Amino acid sequence: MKKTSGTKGAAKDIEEMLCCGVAKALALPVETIDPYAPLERWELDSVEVMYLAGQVEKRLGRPVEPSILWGKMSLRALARELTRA
Amino acid sequence: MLFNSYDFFFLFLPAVFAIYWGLRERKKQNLFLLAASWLFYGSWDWRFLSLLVFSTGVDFLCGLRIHAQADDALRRRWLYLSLAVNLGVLGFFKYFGFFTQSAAQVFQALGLPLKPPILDILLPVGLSFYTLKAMSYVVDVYRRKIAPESDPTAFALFIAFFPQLVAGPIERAQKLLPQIQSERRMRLESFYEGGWLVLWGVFKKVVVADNLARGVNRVFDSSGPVPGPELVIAIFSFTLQLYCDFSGYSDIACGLGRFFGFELSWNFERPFFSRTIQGFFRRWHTSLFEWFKDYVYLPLCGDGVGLAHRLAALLLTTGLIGLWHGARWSYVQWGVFNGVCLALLFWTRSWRISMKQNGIFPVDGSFYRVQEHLTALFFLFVSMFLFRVHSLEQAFSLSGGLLHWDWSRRAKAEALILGVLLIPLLWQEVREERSKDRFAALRGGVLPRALWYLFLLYAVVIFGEEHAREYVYYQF
Repeated sequence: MKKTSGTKGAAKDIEEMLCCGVAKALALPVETIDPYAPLERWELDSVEVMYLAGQVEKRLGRPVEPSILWGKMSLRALARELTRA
Repeated sequence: MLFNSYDFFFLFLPAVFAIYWGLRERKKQNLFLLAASWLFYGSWDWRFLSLLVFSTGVDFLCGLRIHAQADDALRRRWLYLSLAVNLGVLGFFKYFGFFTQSAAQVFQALGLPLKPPILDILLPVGLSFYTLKAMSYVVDVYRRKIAPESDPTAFALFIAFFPQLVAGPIERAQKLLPQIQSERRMRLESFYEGGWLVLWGVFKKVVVADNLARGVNRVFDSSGPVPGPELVIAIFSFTLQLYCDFSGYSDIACGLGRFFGFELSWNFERPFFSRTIQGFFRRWHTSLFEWFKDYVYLPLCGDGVGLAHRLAALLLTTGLIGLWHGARWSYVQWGVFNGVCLALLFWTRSWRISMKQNGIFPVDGSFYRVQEHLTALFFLFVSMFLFRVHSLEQAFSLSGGLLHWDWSRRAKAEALILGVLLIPLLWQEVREERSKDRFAALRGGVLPRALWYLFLLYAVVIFGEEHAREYVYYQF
């Protein structure tokens, strides 16, 4: 139970970090970034994707494949996926 | 020796395959594969082989020297030596004539007539591909991303491995070297997968690409305007021809790799299913675009986060990608066109996303998806048109035909050929895209599978041209 809430908390952290990163890249307010929207909608470029993947890597302490930030997954689903592994 | 030739399929491949698996010991297998790869390459021209061996030797030595130096300045010196040799060889063999003639034209325009030296230089096949591969290895050693390879046979095989030597995929050392260094086992599944990839690749090349090439060449070799329908069909056909030619080659390369126990990178991820222009470039010739992203675009961007900096880096990178394809200004124009489109999309991105967020543009629903897809396809066809023409003048001249919308008998026949060839291609690609499984053709009932393979084989035998036609990307 404790582990589940810990994982949920980590997923929430990653999701917030990703939302902030996307908002910063697009110069949009963070509240306009829908965590349920597919990542491809944000049209992130290579530099932004590398930067965000690097941030997530630092937080999780393991390598993260940057190309996952171009997929059809939502920010929320991605954050859950990353913290589950 | 071409992949789609009888010599290759009925002589070279069976002999290499039998001896390779007969050897069993990894070091002997590597040595034999290297000898076979050099023989394969030397069959074009033995002088090309000496250049390949020279480049391999220089990069092998530079990798070791970079790793051995503790001093950054010395490390950089060895890196520069390797880059100078690689770019020097590429520049001389591929671009010497182009740059001297361009310079002469500039001087002539300034009223200073200049006679450049005329050298009849033959471009060694595959030079652009293996040079990029070797450069990425040395740069990765310099960046301390990989350790240098100390076994000269393994390194030479990494550069020369025949399935991907002449037209890619431009494999990275991180992916291929560990496979060369480890034991390979004969797996039945790999043969099935390899066999399927080879069959499908040969079908795409021999049946689809080569049969579309005739109509395409007729239109693009003409200097004057051709009727609109013929031009439009030629553009559609060329797009499909190039895709089937190059992705067919890449499939065969991956399939051959599996026959020898190697997994090579995919070069194409069904690009026509991409709904965005940016997505298209992530699915088309991925090993080249990834290379330019990692070794040109990202270093050019550096820490510069300004929009102007990023757009300039993008335009320069796409221009260089165009130039990589060939020593012709039309390729540079094609690259710059792609760069301008991508830059416009990047520049307007926040605005477009805001409009979508505010409900001004729809973001969901089939209508939105269809219009997004059609926009990406329209861009793709314009881009391919610019890639195929010999010059901008020819592009304008041919485009004049769009005003004459006359459906001639020839246009109808070309449209019919295109439609018929599209059916098996779409059938297979839709299956793979839906299942996200490149080996979807190996799943399902025995009878439908057998019928599908027989159909492909039959089409290769019946509709394939008698003489093997060279791959489009061999010229690059």
